[in-house]
Amino acid sequence: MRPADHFEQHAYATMQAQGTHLLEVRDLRITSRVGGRHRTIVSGIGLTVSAGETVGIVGESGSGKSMTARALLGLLPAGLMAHGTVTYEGRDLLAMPERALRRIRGSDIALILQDPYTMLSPLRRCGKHLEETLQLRDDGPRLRRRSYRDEAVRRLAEVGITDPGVADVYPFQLSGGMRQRVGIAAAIARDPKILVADEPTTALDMTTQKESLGVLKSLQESRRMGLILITHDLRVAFAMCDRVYVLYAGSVVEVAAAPVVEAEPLHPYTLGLLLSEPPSDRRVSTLEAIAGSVPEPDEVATCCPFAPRCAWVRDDPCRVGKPALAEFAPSRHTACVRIADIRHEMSALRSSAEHPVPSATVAARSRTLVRVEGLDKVFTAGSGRKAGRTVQALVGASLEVGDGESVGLVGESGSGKTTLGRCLVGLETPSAGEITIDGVDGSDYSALDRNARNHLRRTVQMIFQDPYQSLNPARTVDFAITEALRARRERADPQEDLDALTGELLGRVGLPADYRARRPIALSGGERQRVAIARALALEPRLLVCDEPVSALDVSVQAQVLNLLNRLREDLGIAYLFISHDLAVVRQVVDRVYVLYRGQVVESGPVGDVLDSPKHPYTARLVASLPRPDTDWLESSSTAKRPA
Amino acid sequence: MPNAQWRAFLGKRVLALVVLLLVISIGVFSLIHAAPGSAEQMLLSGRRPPSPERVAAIQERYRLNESFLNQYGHWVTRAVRFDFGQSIRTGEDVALALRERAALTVFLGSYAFALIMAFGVPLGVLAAVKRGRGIDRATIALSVVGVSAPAFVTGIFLLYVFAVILGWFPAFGAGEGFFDQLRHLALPAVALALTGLAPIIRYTRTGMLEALDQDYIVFASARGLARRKVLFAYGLRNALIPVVTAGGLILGVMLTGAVLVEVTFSLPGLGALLIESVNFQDVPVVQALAMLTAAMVITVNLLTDILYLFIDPRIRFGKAAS
Repeated sequence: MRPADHFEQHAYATMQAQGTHLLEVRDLRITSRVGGRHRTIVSGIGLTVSAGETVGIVGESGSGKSMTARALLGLLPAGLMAHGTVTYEGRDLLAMPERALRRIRGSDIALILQDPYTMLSPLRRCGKHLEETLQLRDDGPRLRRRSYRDEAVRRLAEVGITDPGVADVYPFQLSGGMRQRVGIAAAIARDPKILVADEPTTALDMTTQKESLGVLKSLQESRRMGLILITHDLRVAFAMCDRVYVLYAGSVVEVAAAPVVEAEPLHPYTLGLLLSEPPSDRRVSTLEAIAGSVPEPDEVATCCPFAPRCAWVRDDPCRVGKPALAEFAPSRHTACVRIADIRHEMSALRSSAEHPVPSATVAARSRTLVRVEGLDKVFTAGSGRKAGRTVQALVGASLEVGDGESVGLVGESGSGKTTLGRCLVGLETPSAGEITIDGVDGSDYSALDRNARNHLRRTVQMIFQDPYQSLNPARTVDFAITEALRARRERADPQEDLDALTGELLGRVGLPADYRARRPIALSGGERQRVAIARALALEPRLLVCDEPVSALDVSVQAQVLNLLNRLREDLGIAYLFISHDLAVVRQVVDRVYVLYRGQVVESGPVGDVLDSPKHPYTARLVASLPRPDTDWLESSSTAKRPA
Repeated sequence: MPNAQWRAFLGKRVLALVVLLLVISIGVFSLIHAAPGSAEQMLLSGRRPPSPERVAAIQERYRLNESFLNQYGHWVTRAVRFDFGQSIRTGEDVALALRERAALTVFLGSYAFALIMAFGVPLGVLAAVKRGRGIDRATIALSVVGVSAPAFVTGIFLLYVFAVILGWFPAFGAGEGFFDQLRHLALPAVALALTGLAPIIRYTRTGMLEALDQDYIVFASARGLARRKVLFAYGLRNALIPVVTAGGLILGVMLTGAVLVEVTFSLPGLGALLIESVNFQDVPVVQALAMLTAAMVITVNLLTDILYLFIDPRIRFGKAAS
């Protein structure tokens, strides 16, 4: 790694060279008023963007990053107000009347949103989205209808959609990646000077994410647009951005050039975020998770917002007032007031936390617990006479899980990984093939007698992706777990025993016993997933099928849950089938991995081997799609760096 | 949707319509048997004790000696040619009587429906845009009043104010020719429309609120599209499905449920005819009316479904197939 000083000079020089900024945000505060009660969502953000520059706003959910994006265009939802100044070409956008703002939107500042599935109107053809935007351009003569269409097709080609037929289809007929490209094309149809991209690739698959980011980057460079990229993923920010603003609970806690932050974060939160992110190239013994979860900005209005979760916190100076962002070194700003004292401790922690441990050695394989052989699953769309279109989700997939072994199943959406998991627990019945669980034929749960079925259900349990949907909102935590406990015992245990067991289970997943009285609404995402795990454990299963158990969670919380899963395995000797699209996550929790592509297992082996030297081209493509900060990850597009 | 698919869809739906009407016709025809007392007595609507010859004549005429199936078969084969026999009360040809009355009722119903859509949808949009503010609450309150006040009460009120006191509209008669009818039927149409306004406002408002919350609205605004375009081409367009559903139901009600209004305004429509005929136990007319009502409701439903296809490409292409 090159010395950080070099980067500092580089970044400083580029900032000097740019001179004036395209957009300057000063002390942006966003508040809401619900039923007469004021709430702060963003408490004072400053940022600048220049032509041709990419700045990243990085933060977890609750940091206020999406509302910041919308505030820049004056598109806050009803009930939210923005204060401060947003200066664009010498005018304050926040003070501008709606009519004038509308002339800025799309033509000067454009926005793309996170979810390509909801960004386009489902009732409007893709080309129409572009054409109507093109028609708003006020430069040059107005074109005839036909010409707008031609222009729309040309614009689609610019984002890599070469099939002109795409202009005539409806958004729901396209994949997520294609929709996102149509969205990008529509957003920049009026050639804006600044593009605000709010988590533009979060909803996409890894390989699609990389392609979409590539498209964004090359457009930004060829047009010298200022790009504000909002993301929760530090890796993406490092790969894409020149400068990074780290946002926490509505405040900016650190600003510096991306390589500088990557080399040495100067705020404990940034460090925590960096260390929570599972490294893709090695396994670490435990992820340095940040305890707790993001507070409301108002709860931390008079202290350092990160104080409640910080390992280095001191009442004085951290809690005596809200620290302001200060320049610690040239072009390196941090809001940490203790940074001078703890800088060395922070880097020491980083080097020890990033120290790799050998990927779990694949010991002499234990007894096989689950064997899946030649599994086929065909889904048929529609029913009755309309049934025609079929989708083959699984094509002769085979895998094995040993007793106490952790096995990964990776693949992108549509690869059939979830279907396989659901077949294992009997939620789907395979069309062909065999599933043997603990010596029992589990290919078709409905064909089993009651005892065998109960045995299988106790042996295999599942954790679902979305903890917001997998718990009944009307029932308490206690109810969810006791219900599962009763299913195990099949007879009425005395209530005291159940209470004790529930408390014990909650303790196992790291929740205080008094959480039993809570309902899901009173729990954070991470806590809900812990409850879901506790509920699955109540049956003392020997295999836990984890279907993307952390992908709905913030990075810092994700790290907590991954650590928990690793610890549970050590304590209980339980086996996992860990289904995920995220190779870095998989690397941290599994021994062996299967790569699923279009329903087929294309590669398998010890996780280290597969990820370090993939044999199948698809695996290689997956590995290459992991964001990397240090190299020209976006290949084709990142060659032309801005002149300094 | 390709032409062949269109034809298949329409063919299927029209076939279903016919089958449904047949099923209903069995029920309707059974009325005469289900009614208390013997069919003969009912048909004679006994004021005087009937002579045996009269009874025999009735039995002959309505084939009451034959099996139920035969009777039904006979009735239905005539009914498909719009021959429902003669009215017992007036001796008039039923189909002919119905045609005159239906013209008025369909005009009145469509009039009221047009008023509902013309006012209900914009009010719903307005309420959604001004969510939670005075105009939103006022609109909802107004629509609640409209739906809870019985049509004959609002009818009399309207008559009193606009016909008697102000004299803007005629108090009586159905009018001749389109524009005269429009003037004559204005008050009844308003009275009728008030009963159906609330659901349309509600559905429009709810649909709009949901649509306005979507990302595509933010994205459309972010591209600088005019507010009107965002509201209508994006918001209302996406809110339309529930509105069309409710609209179909309400059109059905407007066409078939105008009884109270027709009586209040002494209009010779289907509703008034229904009441007279039921009172008089004029079975052929009641049967024909029931069939006509069913046919109207089913046709409106079919039109609604066809409208869905035009509004929502996801239905047109079958979302599962994408």
